Amino acid sequence: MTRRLFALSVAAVLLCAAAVPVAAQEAKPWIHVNVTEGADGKNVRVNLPLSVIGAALEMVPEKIFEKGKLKLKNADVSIADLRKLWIELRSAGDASLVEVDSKDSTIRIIREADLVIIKVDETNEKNKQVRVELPVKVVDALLEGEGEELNLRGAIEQLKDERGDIVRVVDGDSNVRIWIDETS
Amino acid sequence: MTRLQQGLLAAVGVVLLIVVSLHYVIVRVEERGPDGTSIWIPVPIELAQAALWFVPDIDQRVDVDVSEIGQFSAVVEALLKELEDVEEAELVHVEDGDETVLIHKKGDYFEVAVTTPREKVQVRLAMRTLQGVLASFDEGRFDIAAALGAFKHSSGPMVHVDEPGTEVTLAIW
Repeated sequence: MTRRLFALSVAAVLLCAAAVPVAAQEAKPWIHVNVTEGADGKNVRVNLPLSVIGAALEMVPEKIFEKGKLKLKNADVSIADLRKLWIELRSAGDASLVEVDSKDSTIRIIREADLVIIKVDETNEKNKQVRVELPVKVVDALLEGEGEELNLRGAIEQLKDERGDIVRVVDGDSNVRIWIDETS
Repeated sequence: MTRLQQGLLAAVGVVLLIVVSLHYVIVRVEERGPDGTSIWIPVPIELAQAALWFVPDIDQRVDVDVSEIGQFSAVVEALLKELEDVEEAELVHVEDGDETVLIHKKGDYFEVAVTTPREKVQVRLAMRTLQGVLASFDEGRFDIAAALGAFKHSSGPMVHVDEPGTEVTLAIW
């Protein structure tokens, strides 16, 4: 009886031990946004489960996108044209995809292994630096589909597997950092 | 003790039991200063729900424009679902000069704290209360009684506003 009880206890302990890694594997990705604006400026921290962003995006498209066209500062970029460009560029492998050098700024879009890295450096008094690192599969998902549509839900779905920094902006005293981890 | 006394005692016991088992929204308003007024009103939620049914002209379900609420509630529902298993998390922290906004999840509760040089506002609501209020929006109508009932899932301080001269507290017990 005692031996059976001992065996049952050992089995129970082993089952519990086996259950712990399973629980650990189920950790959900969280997206963190940290904006700081210098000593007297605004500081904002937002920490949310990534899946919530998917739900939030459901209400965003009509406000940010018009007829599928991504609204940039002074020009409308056709998603269809972006898609065509991406199909050409993604097959190029590791390469410098875009290089723009002007008087005040340099822009580089680089493909490094599974990442598309966007670097913008302004050389004016603000010394603005932008770093965006997007996995190729996220860009693939974003430009999936046809016509003037961005597949934001697909992109968010792909981001679920990513961990680490996605966006970093250094603009004088202001900093923006967006990253994904499993910490709430 | 006579039978009448026993019966009265039992009746008082039953009434006390009912009173104790009810959920109350306690409203407390304190005006500071020598002539300040103090108000303390306990409102039984169950009785407020029941009272709604006895008011003939009031429709229990109010028409609302859910075009925006519907989208917003989808996000909140997703957030609540994702946060069910999270014990504690700082969701939003905004510091803007001397103003601060904090949104936390602590245990089964959401806590919002807004601090400005003039006032402090704290809101604390159970997740089940928020879920219940959201569930009260159905096909473009808002069910007041159902929303009221959702507040039974919260317990303790719910709203606390502290501004110069006045302090207002809403609690649920």
